[in-house]
Amino acid sequence: MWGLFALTGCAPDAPDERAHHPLPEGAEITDHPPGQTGGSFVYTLPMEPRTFNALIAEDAYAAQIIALMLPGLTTLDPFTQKPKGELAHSWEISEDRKSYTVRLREGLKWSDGAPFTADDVVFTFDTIFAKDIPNRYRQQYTIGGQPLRYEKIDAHTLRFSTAKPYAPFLNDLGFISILPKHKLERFVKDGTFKSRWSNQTAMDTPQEIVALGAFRIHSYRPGERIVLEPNPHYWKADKNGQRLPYIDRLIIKFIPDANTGTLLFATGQVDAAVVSPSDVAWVRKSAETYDFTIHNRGADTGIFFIYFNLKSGHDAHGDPYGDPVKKKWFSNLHFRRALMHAIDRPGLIQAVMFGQGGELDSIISPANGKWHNPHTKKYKYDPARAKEELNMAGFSRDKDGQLTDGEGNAVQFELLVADGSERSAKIATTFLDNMAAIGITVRLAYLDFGTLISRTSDTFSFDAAMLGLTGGGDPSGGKAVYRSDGRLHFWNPSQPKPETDWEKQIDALFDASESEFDEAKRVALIYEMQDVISEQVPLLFMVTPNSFMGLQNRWQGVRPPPIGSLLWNLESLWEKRAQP
Amino acid sequence: MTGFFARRLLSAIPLLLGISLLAFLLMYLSPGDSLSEARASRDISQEFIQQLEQERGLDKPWYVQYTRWLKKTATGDFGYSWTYKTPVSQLLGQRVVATLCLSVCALTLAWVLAIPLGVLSAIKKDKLFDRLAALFAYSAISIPSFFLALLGVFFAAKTGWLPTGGRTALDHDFLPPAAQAWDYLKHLALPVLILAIGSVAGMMRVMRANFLDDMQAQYAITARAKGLSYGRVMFVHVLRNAINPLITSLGFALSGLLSGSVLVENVLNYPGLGQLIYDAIVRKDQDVVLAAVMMGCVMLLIGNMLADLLLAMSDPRIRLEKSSASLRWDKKRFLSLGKIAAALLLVCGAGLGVYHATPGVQKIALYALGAVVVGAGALCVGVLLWMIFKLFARLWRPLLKKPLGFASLGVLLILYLLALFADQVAPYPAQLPNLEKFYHPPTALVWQEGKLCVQQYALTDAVTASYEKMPGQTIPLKWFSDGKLFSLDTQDTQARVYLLGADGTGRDLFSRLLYGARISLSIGLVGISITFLMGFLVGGLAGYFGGLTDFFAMRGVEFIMAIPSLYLLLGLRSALAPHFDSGQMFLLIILILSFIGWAGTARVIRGMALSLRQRPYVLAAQACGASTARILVKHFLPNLASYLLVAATLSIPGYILGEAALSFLGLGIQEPSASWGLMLKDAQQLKIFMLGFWWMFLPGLAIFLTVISFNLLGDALRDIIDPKMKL
Repeated sequence: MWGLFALTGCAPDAPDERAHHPLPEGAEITDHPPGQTGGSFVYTLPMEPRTFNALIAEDAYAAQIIALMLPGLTTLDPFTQKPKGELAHSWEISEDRKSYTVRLREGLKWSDGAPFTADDVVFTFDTIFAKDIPNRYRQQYTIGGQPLRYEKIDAHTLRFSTAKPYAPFLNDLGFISILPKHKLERFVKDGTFKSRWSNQTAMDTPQEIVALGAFRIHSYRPGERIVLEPNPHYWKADKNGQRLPYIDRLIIKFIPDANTGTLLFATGQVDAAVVSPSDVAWVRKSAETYDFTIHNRGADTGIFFIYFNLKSGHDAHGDPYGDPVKKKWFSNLHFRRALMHAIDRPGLIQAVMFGQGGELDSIISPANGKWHNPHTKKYKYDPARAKEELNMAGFSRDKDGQLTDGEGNAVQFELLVADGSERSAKIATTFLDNMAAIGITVRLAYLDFGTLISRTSDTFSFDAAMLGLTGGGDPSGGKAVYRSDGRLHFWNPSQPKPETDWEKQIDALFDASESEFDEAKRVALIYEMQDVISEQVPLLFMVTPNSFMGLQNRWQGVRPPPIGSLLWNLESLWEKRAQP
Repeated sequence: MTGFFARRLLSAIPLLLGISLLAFLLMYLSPGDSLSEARASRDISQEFIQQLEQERGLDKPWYVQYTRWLKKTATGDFGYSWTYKTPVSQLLGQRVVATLCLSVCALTLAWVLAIPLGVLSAIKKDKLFDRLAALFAYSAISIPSFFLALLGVFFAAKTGWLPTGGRTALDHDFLPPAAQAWDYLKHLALPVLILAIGSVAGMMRVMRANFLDDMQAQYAITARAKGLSYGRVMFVHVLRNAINPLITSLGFALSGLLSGSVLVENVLNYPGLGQLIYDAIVRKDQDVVLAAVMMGCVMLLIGNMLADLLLAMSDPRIRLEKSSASLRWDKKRFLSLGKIAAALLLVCGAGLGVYHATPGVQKIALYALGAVVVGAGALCVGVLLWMIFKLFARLWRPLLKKPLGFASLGVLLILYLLALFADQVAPYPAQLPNLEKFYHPPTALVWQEGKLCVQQYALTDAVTASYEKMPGQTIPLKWFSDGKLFSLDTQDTQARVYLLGADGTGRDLFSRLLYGARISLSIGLVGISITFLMGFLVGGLAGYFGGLTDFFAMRGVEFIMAIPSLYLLLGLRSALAPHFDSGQMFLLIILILSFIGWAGTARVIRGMALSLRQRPYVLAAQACGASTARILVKHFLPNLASYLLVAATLSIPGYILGEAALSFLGLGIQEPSASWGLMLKDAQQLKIFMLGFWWMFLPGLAIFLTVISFNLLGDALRDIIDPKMKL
């Protein structure tokens, strides 16, 4: 008893006494072992959030911070990879699988004490579909060609209806943070919604940005840091009835340079950091001095690949997109397979990632354990096999070793590389060398991102490009990539109807997976889709680095999930301090 | 005085209009737009992108967009940031104070350090102090400041003496005002130091050279003869004359006060405008970019105006009134101005015509442009080489008596010869990788069985890239075979001799250094020959004639200095890239960069020329009827030689390091080709430093060696040609 008193009394940076509001009726009692309150948790982000307006925020970093303050109706359980209730307490699915009756948690309050009800949810969806507020969510909640229908049944019950049965619906429902009607409705009415909750608001009147999640804004310094504090009305508590979160301050510093971020962690200045595979060795050297652990989080969720321009059709001048001669090589399956065999991916893993990575063989990263198909076709590094495949495709090598096609055209192409990082430069130069070994001449063109995107998705004036794509989550998020009419179907986007049989097959498998409610069957469909893609290799998969995250050992309650960030449960981390 | 201000203010209006139009056009013409990022993310729909295009007016023709911006700005509304969704004035306002604090402190520190150091080096010429100061200066300009900043953070974190970044401590808001001020100061220390070090080096050397010139001037000797104390003569009389080029450069420094420093802000988490503006440029956040360009332009105009005032104050020979008197519509000058205007119109018309012409015509026009640019560049380099030749023909005998200068000439000759014979001396091509041997340390050489042999190594730990010697396993070297100076005598294609270690993909650093030297040793020469010749011509003429010529030349210079170069480069690349291959592109871009870069030099030289033209010997030459060309070459050039030699040799590392920055825009020498700048960029990662791959820093040493040799040679030449030093 005395010890506990001393602990709470001596906290070095004791913030204002926490307000004691009774826990709401619908509070969630977490099942993890209880911890102690106190302490500050510091980590870094490479970029400041540009706005705190959840509906129009475009960058991932803003989304990351907003998620700490504004939860959605559902969330993805990091362990089971299934949607679970967040603001929604429970739901029922109708017989025809087209309508969902969602019950909200009761008695919840925003951080300013205003009650949270179904009106806030209706307001949020009204705003998504408001004409003068363009936002990314409108299309996501247009299912089967029709906007999602939603209605309030009582203060804590809503009904959502989709135009067709849509399996990932509960997953998608969690995408949008629920917005406070009592704060924002007047701005939607007076037309100033889009410039509200800007970073200036966070500087001047942080309490205006009310929260429903674990944290709210304490203070914000542009370009420097944001300090979050516990939301006094948060609705989660541990078994002892202690309201979460435990920490008193969550401090996020904005450090654009990755080297500095790693250095600050390695010298004990911040509590957690993502460490790139090539930095792990030296950071680990000071693990004892500063008492931290580097957790190997397995393969990264993103994918990294090279792809060819197979865009069909003609541009405004009536010229075909891309060079028809080259397109003939690129659309040859043997050619693509030969290239896959020619890339020294084991060497890349060793030299670029210091041995800390794996070969990528599917369009869904192995990190995404639930959906990743481990049995897709594998392409081993084997230059001899590559040459065989090229012979099969009708290519031959002239006396200088240069590869030529059946008509005698020398095989050469230009690879566009956007990202100027050391890693991409190494991968690109190795690719160039590997291609030279089988007689293909590759020219590298480093471009700024804007130029690369305009060439690969607007004018389609390119041969090949190297890109990465972030991933994770339900495969329905990759619709624009997988489907042949997708805007981001890299090699040949926005096809009016599938031009090849295998693309038609992918479309069919993907569509079937969207309306399949039996999860095992859904996974099987996505497995099959990956099989087809890896057979055809429209994307030459490269390597995927392991991701590493360092965390100071004094933090308790860490429960590493199989996928995603180690910091998913910031609300239940607590600091173990030496007994006085 | 009022006339001076009025003229400057009036001339600012067309300049601002022109620059805003140019910046807008460049932004419009360079590929990509503010929605590029949205286009590349998988969960954003086409409809959303189209809605945003409409909302931002991106679907309208450029002149509609520009007029809209112009109208808004004229009413004092700087627009709205698309990425931050707030008014631009608010966004910039958030960071102005922090930026000003940092840049004013850094500028002040640089001046406070550079002037005394430069003066002391001059007074103690060739003594230990001078040598040490020089060594510091050459090191400072050879180390990329990014790396310096990173080491600064490391140092701060390890010692705990200084904060590792940010502008305030966490408890800042709860501190009393005095402690808050102290907190700001502590956080400023590191960034200010890092920013200042870079500029101290150059300023100090320029100050030293100019001071040396003026120490021997007639008035100094007279003052001494009349019994004034040494200190008074040096610090009152000589100093105010010698400081001339620094005052002009203060004008540019002032223009940068509000633009911040991307690099220091990135590494030290400092909330300045640099990162914000750079980000806006990359993302094409139109209103923010235009506001920033306008802000920079206004600061440049104010800075230059102040510099002109200060010049007149410090140097009694330069008078502002003088130039206003000659601002009459002289018929001859009016005609020549008309000609210039007509030529400009013609060029613009031709440009517009080409833009709308068929691809064939465009191609011919581009080749013509390329030919003109290359021709002009070649002419500049030719003139420079001719001058060097003439100089050496006259000077090689006295140079023999200067051991340091002679030795540095020898070093440079060796470097150039190595670069020339890289094909023979380098054991491997620059691009040959060996992924098995990434970050391989330099291989030991052992003497075995009467042959020089190369020790072989085995990888013991991939995670730290550590290698161990394999005892007894050596491969002998063979000499002069297959057209190579030396190579390994083995059938194993994977075995390597790494005299200086290997880089991250197992490429031989020694070979890459030699091949890289070809680029790095030529790029500086091409760059300085163009910038300094153009700068000398324009600056010299403007300073010599003064008045209207000076007025218009300097407004032109300001225009060129205010062009946002990133967009210019991106725009030029997209216009030129389809017609030229990468090697030609590189040459073109270097030429273009130099043709833009002369503006700063021209202003400094003009400032010095303004002072020179009132000197008795120039007046005497005029009275004798000497032609303008003769006065420029025979009277101005020798007296500007000190500044020219020092400034030129000091700007070489800027070109060598700057080229690496271009490569990632697809404009410079690109991987897998080698250049020193690119190789050093590869070494600027913490893992290289922490895991002890010291050989990766050798390109930095090579740059340092080149810089120090050029500068020592420059110093020696300066001493020889300075007529006053023979007294």
